[in-house]
Amino acid sequence: MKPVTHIRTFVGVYGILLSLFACVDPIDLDIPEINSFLVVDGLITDLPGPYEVKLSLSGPLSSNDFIQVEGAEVRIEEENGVVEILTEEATGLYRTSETGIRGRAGNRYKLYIRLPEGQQYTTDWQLLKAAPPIEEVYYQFERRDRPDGRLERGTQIYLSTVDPQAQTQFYRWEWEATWLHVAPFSSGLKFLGNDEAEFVGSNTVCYNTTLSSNINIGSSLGNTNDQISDFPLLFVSTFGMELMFRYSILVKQYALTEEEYFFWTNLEEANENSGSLFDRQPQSNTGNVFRMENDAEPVLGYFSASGVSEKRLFIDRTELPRDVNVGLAYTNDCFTRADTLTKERETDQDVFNAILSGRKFYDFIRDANLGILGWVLVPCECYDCKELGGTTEIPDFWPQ
Amino acid sequence: MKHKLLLVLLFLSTMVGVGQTPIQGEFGALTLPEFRKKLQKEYGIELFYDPVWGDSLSLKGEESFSSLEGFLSAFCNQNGLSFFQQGKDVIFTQGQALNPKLPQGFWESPIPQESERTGEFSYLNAESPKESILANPENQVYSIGSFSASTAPSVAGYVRDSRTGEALVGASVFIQSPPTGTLTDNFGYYVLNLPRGAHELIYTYVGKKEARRNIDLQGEGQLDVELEEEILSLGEVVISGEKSQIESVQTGAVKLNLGEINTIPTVLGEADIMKISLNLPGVQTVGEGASGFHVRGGTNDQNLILLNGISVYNPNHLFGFFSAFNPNVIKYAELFKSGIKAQYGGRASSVFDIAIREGNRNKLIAKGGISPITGKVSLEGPIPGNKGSFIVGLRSTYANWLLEALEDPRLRNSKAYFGDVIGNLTLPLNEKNNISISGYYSRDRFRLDNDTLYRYANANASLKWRRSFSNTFSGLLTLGYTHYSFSMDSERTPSNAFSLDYGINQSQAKLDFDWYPSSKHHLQFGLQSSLYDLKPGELLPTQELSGIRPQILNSERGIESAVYVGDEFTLSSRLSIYTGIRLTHFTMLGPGEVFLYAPDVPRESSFIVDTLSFASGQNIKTYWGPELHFTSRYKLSSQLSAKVSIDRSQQFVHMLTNTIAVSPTDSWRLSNTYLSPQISDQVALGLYKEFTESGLEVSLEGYFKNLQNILEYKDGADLLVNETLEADVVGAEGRAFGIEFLLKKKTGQLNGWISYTFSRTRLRADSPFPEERINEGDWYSANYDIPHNVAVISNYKVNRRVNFSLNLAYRTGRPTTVPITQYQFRGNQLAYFSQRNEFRVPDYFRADVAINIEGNHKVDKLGHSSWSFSIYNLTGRNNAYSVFSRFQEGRVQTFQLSVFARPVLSLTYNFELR
Repeated sequence: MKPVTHIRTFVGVYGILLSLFACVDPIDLDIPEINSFLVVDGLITDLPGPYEVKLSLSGPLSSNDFIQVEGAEVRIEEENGVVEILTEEATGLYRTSETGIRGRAGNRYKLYIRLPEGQQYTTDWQLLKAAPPIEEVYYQFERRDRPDGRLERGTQIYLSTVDPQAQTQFYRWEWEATWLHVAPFSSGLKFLGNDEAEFVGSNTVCYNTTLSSNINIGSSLGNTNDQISDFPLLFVSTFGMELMFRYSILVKQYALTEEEYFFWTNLEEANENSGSLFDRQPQSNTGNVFRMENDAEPVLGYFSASGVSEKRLFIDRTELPRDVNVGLAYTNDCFTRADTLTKERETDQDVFNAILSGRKFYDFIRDANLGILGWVLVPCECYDCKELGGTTEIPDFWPQ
Repeated sequence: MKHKLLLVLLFLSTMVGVGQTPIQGEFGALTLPEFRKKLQKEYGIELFYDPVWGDSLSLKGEESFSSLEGFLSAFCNQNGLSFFQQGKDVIFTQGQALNPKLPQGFWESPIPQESERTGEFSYLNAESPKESILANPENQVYSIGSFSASTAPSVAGYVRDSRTGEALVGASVFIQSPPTGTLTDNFGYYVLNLPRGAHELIYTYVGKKEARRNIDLQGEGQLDVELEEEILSLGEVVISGEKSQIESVQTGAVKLNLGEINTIPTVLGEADIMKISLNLPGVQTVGEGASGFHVRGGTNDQNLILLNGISVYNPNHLFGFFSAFNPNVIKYAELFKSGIKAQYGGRASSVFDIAIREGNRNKLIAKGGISPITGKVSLEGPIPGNKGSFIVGLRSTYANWLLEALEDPRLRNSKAYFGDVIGNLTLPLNEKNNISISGYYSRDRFRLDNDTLYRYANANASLKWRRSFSNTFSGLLTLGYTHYSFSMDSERTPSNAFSLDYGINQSQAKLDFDWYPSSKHHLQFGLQSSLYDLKPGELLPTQELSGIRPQILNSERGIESAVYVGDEFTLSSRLSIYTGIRLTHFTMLGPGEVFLYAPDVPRESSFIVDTLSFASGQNIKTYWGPELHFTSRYKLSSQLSAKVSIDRSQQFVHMLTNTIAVSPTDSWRLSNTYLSPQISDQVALGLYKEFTESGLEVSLEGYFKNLQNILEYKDGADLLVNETLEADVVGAEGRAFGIEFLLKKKTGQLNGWISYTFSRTRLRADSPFPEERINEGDWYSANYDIPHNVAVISNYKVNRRVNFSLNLAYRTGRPTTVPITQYQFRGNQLAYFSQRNEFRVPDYFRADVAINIEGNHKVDKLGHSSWSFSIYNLTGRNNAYSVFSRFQEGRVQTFQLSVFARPVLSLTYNFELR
């Protein structure tokens, strides 16, 4: 990591330093909502295709419902090589064929777009640089202070990479985290009334996946040996559910050109502005796509040609200290939100009403002598693991 | 009027024989006061007497005389009085007659022999009863100069504070007829070229009693004057004789005195000369707590901040919350926005000249103060066995409690420290030679979250030797040294442990001369030279495991030299012209390397085609050029003048900053092959009016300024430890104009000022290459383009011990760059920003109040103390320090950050022991 990044931390903190008397309020600066620019999200790698190019329009600040651009002609060209016209798989999503163009390190690629209205966009030739393998992805169990003053513990995931050829220097990382989730009240029972229930099964164990949604870039420019050590990728808190059973993270390393690296740097900086006067001035960022008829028109996004390497890390709950509670908030929430209905006060109809209003039947309250005394109803997300966005399919990389 | 006798001036020099004033008839049976009025009304004669015995006397009303003198003589004889007449003034005395003759032996021993005297000063009779002269020097006539005709008649000398012995700067010295005057310079020194003969010199200074001296001017001589403190009674309005604004040729100058600084409320109770200057017209700031300021559209680094004549690079503590000058030790600060004299150079937009006090020459005095976050002490006093004096001030912080009170743990674990020492030693060797030595050191440390340690320090030293060759010709030799450095250290992760160091040294020598060849000319000329020595960046690993690559940028050296001459020419009592020319030369010296870039492509490190190496001492790049300064003042009436000024200034050191405000890790670099000197050209016009009766001053100034080679930065430029800096900067041009209105009331129970500024500053960075353009090469607003700016600074003296201050500030929100549209890209929700500075943050308004309570006012009391209670941002308005945006549920929400979003109360205690 370059020391320059430290300066930015310093800078961000300055804003908070003032917080003894400071305050943050939303304001409305009357920004006209008429700005809409073409956004190009294209990527060709040295992994086998298909490759995708997404075209959309930027939208007003008040809504993230973006218009996809359909009906465009999209081509990826290899210098002195093949040209492939992409097919529109879904609205605004253009894809190469499985057997089509293949990215190779050392070659150069360019993108051509022709919108239905006739505007043409292109890029210069983009060099695809090979990515060296990631040397190591590892974690440390750490504690840290949260901005609200609470102490939290969790795994800080780091990566180290080195390019023996000293060619790469500029990197971007994406990650894909998958974690096992077990719904605590997943009984699989269906309430039938009259103290009867049948087992219909439910989704108990899920695999949830989260994708990186922030910018992780690094450069070995200031370091010896084209080496990046101990880059902090993300912190996984024990306050969340991710580490409850087993957690896995796949880190993808993209080798960037210097130009693309600075594009991402600017993007990161502009979008992580803390409001301090020691921040750099935010700037309007355009990428490497330009309109052929008018290069002053802002075109957002980037067409990247990148070598990719990957590394996966698993973290088992058993590896973490035993005295640490993981996902306590979720488990507690399931317990506190579980309702008990008793026959003294409620009837079967109340149970059905509760189910209609979105609760799940977990089980009867039984007494060895008195029989069924009542019912336990739970929130959906404590009963069906899919409610939290996971899938029950076991990913193929998951160790059995 | 009753006590007029007590104030009467005795004109012993130009004795006029008793004339004959004809009168008709008789006066009738009048009381003496009635008679006095009659004389005044009908004959224009002023009669003076002591009312203790005089008010009870009356005229018999029988005798009839043909002349007034005969009548007065008879009247005095009858009542046992003596009378004395000069011109239209008549004085009655009881007991002792006024003797218009000098005392016996007055002229004896001190008058040197004719042979020794030529061209020398003459002195007052050393043997004559000094006490009586001191007791009432206004009763004396001072003979100035030798009778030999070889020297042009002139009177010069020092004006000092009688209590402390310190020089009074900007005191006015004038005669009423013909109206001629001058102001004392930075040493309290004045020179007046006058015709031979008798004159009454009047010395005035705000807050001091007016002094008058009668002189008989024959040649060149010296007259030093001490002014006494004006001890005001409630409700009295002092009308100062200072005519600086109307008389001086200067445009665009504002002076702040210590008194003004101390009564103005500031955040956390720290009296702060630089923060107060932000309320002056034409001075802009980008936010509260931000260091630095902008003068008339100039950038932050274009202000020459001088402390006793030597520049200071980062005059801020705690990232800009406070200026790094202990207010107890500051005498005054003067800001020149235009009409800059040729002896100042090196920065393009303004001169902020801060003078350190010399210290009390009579008594040992200790002063101290405690504010919520700092403590300060100062000691001053005479140097035994010498006429000299010293002052030393110390200030330190205990700001850590503030950090510990914060919620954010990263800050709670942070430590801040700052301190400064400042001192001055004045040694008048003899009447002609004066030496002063001053020193300054300030430092800041900030450790962030037990990790990165930021440090910066200023050191500054100067030696000044002033020699008067004659009354009208003096020289000043200044030797100075300035150092500024900062560093960062981080050791938290061994693999990334590093230290980063930056330093700049400037050694300078100046030889300045002041010459008054005649009453119409005041010439200033001299030679100045600075040697810059920079360590532009050193990045080193600090632990064995650290993977940081050591990177040491070549040191830079440069020499900036200048010769200048300036003449203030008084063509008539109405018209004065100042013309100054300064020839500046800058050379970047080897050893060094210069990268050559391919032509016809943007300047980027990947396009370096060759490297030129220069040996030590070799010239790498030279710039030179003349700087013209012209100012002219035309007096439309005695209270109204119009002025015009033209200025060109150049600058060879540049601060690299691409943040909105100056940060402590902004470094300075020298002009080189690629960084051209910044040049500012300004034309200013002004109208100045004074209302003597009410003590009001009004000025209206307008200016237009053109700026060249302002440094702007390419997107994403890293400016620290950058070997190819030229590839990351773009040169911008700027245009600024504005109108400044200032209404100032210097004296009275209610004093202060109201200022309004309308100004615009626009920049443009154009280039054949899109990478080097900002806003597509169009004009855009600078960060500090703040069109409307209103400031009210007021102080109301409730009584002698209690005064009350109210400040108001309003200004247009500064320009900012905000998101205008959002989009999705590679899994990230992102915002796309407007053109640079296309929008503005909301307008700014703030009100502050302070109440200052002083202990009792016995002049000779051993200890004095005062309390000051202030509320900053009384209305608790949330002023936008900055705006920023965050994604919230799919929306881009813009927020404003307010630094002082609630009233900030503080209590400061100051004491003085003597």
